Amino acid sequence: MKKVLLVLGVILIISCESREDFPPLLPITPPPAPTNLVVESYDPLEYDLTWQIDDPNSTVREFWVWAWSDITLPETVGVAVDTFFCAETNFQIPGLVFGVSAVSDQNVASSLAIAAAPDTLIPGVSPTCP
Amino acid sequence: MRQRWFRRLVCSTVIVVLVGIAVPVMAEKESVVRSVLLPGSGQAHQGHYAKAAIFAGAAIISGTGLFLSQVHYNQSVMRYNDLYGIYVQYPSDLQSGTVIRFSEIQQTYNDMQAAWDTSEDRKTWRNVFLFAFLATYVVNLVDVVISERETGEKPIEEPSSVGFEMRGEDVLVYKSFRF
Repeated sequence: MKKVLLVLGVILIISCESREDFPPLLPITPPPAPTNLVVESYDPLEYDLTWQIDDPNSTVREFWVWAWSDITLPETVGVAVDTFFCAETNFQIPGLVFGVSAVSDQNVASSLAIAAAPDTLIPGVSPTCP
Repeated sequence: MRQRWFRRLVCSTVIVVLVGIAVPVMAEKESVVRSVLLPGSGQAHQGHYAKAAIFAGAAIISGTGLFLSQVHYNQSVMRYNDLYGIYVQYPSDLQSGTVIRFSEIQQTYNDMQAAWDTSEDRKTWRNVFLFAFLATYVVNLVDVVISERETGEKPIEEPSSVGFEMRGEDVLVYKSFRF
């Protein structure tokens, strides 16, 4: 009889699995994603990135600049507090792509604005890279 | 986590105590005790083999369904609870300075919603099998108690149904069953 009660107890312990209540939606406002990301190159190893923010009243604190290519995974290459950034590389990377996301005061990052690095150089001096 | 284990402990303790009280109370009647331990076995003890087969079959099917649906339900609840833990952790992570993509938060929320819906579906199936199992169990007990009142405590005395015949140099042994 004790064995039967023990087995019943084990079965009932399994059957009494409890579930957490469904939580309310977190009060998080996503920052607006950057738009019109443009990548220009005046030097084979330098890239000028510029973008815009559609909502000037948003709580964007900074922008995170990402880069990846055919041979590398996405990684942050820098942080900008304004709507431009100068990215430098040590060698020419095939299939280089840049992404920019806005980060709000709540530390929430927006979706990425993406643009590929140009194949051709623009003659002249970079307005962004020193 | 402590609350979940506490609920489990209370739930299992209450039911085990109830079963533990119920079994000795009915222990004076052997057929009832048999049906408490294994649905259909009391009816078999009373000689009602067809009813015994029906109750045992129903108990096995509903019991197996209950066990499998409970396992599936537990799996979906564990997945939901894991996602719930990640989701409710976001505010403190964000406050501590960790930057999190909004799409990741949204994806976790959507996955959590899907896991909740899945667990709700599985809970419904679990409850269906639970109801079927409990109904089988209760009807089995009611039936064996009523049958005992009708037939008395002693099991039906079967006429001798085993015999043998000599057929030339062969011996034929036979056993008859009554349903």
